[in-house]
Amino acid sequence: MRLLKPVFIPLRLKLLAAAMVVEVVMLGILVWNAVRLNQESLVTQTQYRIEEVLPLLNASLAAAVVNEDMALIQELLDQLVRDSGFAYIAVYEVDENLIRDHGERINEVRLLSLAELADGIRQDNTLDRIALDVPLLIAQRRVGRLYLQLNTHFIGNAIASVAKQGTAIAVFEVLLTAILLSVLGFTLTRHLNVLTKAVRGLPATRPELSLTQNSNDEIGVLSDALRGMVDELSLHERHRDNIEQALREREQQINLLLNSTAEAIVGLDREGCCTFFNRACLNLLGDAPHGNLLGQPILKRCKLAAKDEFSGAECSEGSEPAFSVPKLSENGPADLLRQTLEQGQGLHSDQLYFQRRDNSWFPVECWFYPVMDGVHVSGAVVTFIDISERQKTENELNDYRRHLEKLVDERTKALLSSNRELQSYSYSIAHDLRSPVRAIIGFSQILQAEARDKLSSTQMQELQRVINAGKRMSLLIDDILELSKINRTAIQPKSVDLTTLAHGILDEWGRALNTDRVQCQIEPGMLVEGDARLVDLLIRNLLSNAIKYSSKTEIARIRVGKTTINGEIVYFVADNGVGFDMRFADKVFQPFQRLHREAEFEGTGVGLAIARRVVDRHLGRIWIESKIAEGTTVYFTLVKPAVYPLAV
Amino acid sequence: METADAGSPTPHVLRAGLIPYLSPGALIKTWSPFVTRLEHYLQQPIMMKSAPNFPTFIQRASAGRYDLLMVAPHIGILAKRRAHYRIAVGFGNPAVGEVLVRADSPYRQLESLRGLELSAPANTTLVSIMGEALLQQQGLDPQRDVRMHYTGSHNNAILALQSGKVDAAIVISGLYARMAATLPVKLRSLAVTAPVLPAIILTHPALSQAEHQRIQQALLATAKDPMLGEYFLQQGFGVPRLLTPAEIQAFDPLVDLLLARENR
Repeated sequence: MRLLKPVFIPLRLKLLAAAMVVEVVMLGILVWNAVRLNQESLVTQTQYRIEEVLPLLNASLAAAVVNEDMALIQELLDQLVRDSGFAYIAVYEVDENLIRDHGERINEVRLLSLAELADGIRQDNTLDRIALDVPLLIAQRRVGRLYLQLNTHFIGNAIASVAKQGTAIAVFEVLLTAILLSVLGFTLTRHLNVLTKAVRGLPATRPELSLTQNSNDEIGVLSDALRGMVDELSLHERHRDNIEQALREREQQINLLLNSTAEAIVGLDREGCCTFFNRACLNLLGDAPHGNLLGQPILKRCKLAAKDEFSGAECSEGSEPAFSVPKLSENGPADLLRQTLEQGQGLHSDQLYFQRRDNSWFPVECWFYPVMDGVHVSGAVVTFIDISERQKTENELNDYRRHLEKLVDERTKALLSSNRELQSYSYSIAHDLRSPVRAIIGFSQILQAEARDKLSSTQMQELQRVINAGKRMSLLIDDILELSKINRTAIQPKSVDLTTLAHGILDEWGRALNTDRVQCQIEPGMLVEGDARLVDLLIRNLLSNAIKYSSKTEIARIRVGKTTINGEIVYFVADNGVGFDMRFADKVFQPFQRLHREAEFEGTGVGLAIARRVVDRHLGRIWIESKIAEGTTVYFTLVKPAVYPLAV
Repeated sequence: METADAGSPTPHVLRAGLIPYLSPGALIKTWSPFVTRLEHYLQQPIMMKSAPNFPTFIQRASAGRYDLLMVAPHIGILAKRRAHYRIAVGFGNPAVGEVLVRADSPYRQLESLRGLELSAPANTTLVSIMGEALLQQQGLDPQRDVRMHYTGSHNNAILALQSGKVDAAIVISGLYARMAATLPVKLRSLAVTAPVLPAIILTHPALSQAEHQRIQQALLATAKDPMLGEYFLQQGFGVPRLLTPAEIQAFDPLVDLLLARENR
């Protein structure tokens, strides 16, 4: 239906018309009211005058009529006509005989009673005269009749005069108002037209130029407001252009991003219909490059399947997705979408398969992201990647891993066997060397005692050196056997009171220790889990080292205690001895490695190696911190595994 | 639009002439109840008329301008003589005139009024005539021994005495008794006249005998009208009755006195 264009009516004409209507109506009411009031006033005056005159007239005239005093009657009539404005007066007797009359009588005059006087004049103010018929009464007895004709044309004339004057004033006022309103309307609309032209020209024109006309009234205020609005609009427009440009660039970036990624991205509404998609989605689903998936239920081309349902398909293992992994029914894809929409959180699955356009299926790793519209989920974005190649690679890697594990296992077994043989061999050698060494030492000592007089001092010194070397060799052999024994010992874990153990060792060494020079501080209540004999060996070696390397200190301070490092309980044995350069810290735990000459500190260099071996057997860690001339602290941890593996 | 003069046809209206012994208002008020009942009996309207003064009235009555004449007897008889009015009825209770002076005045006898000023309603009223006759009987010539002031009505005569304008007043007896409560000065009666019938009613000679008799019967009917019983009592006239020829003849001296005044 064609709508008619509304006719343009200028505002000033509307204002003028409205004002004219109001003006005419109001002035009409005013004129009418003035006429009515004037009429009412005249009527009331006339009524009052007659009501005032008639009783006096009646009293005197009635008596005169009774007395038939014609002179008095004539005098009264003359006075009435002269003073009261009656046009004609007649006095009748009871038998209707005319006694006297005065004035010019008109026959066609409306006759009213006194009670009808006011209403009669009001109803017809065009009457020139009205007539009154008044009985002359004395003591309620009618003694005659008075007939009066009253000029009322002055009422009509006065009303007409008021009406004319009022109408003239009203017309003048209407014209004046019309002129003033026209001028005002013209001025008003001229400013408005200027503003309208300026506003219509937006934004192509320079509004600041068009709106510069000032007016010291509401138009001026409006102009200022429009100018401010235009400035604001311009600012907003520039801002909007910038935003639109940014949005275009962002859209291009997003499109580029969407289409450059290999990951398929699909937008779904709450019904699962496609709202947008990227190029990778078309590629993965095997659709034409310019295919259109919009509005299509994409998830109907997706299904949940066991990993081996399709040939060659196997999902990856071991990787923990950042998304919650839902429990899926056979209607898996729809479940994922439903749960995403209901829970408003991202979901992940690598158990889905998509169907290509050629009906072939391929495995995907899939993410469902909720699209939030305020607090409501309006849809979801589904991203997926084809994991066919990854599954294939994972399968191959698994094959290699299994092959390697098998190979390592075989090699480890061989190595363990070889290591055992080597340990057994070294133990046998060491064990077998003990007797000859002891024989050498013994026979050398016998020789030294028996041939003391026959041998020169040089020979005696050389023999002593043989004995000393033998003894050192014997010690080395003992240490090697000890070290070997650690690996060969089966660990029997139990709770070991480290505090009591340390005190026991020190008590054992008590006679040899110079307690005035050596001060030992052992923290109470230290309990560890481990093999009691090996832990005793560990503490004994560490305390021995501490006492030995602080032997040159005036007051040796030995501390055995525990501390917590990174939430782990760590035990330590510290001294204030000679210390060493930490550059050689790696060597101290190797067997037979010494950082000091034997002349300074005797020993075989096996103590810390034994300590390390014990800690290793307990799957713990051991390390050392030292400063030269300040002391050394050995830290260790002990773990309590369910089963301690045999040392290899 | 109505016609200007709303006069409607009426039955023949009887013109009743009332002697102006009172103001027109008082006259109408006094006689209206009686006239109204008379209209009832006659089934005919009556128009009460009077005159500005006694001479005019007498002149009009003599000229036969009234169908009914309700007047003092001397005027009625004069009208009978001059215009041949016919006497219908008279009112039964005789009236008495009296001479009033102020109660505190020293006058005890009519003789003591010599040289004083007296008020009376008019020189033609029955009471004035009777009063002057009384003065003559006591040796006072009203024209020379006293100075008469005619006030137009009995009320005015009493008021003139009250205000001190005159020394005595000749009025109808009983009027002061009715007015005493409203007057500031107390009066006392010095002398009274001989009684005389106060009023008679005559008909115009132009009326037929039958009409005269009808009117006469109606007048007599009012005497028995219960609605006028109280009225007649208050007025003191008595009730209408037929007059005997002797009673009529007794009025002649009064007429002579009246005629004598006209001649003066």
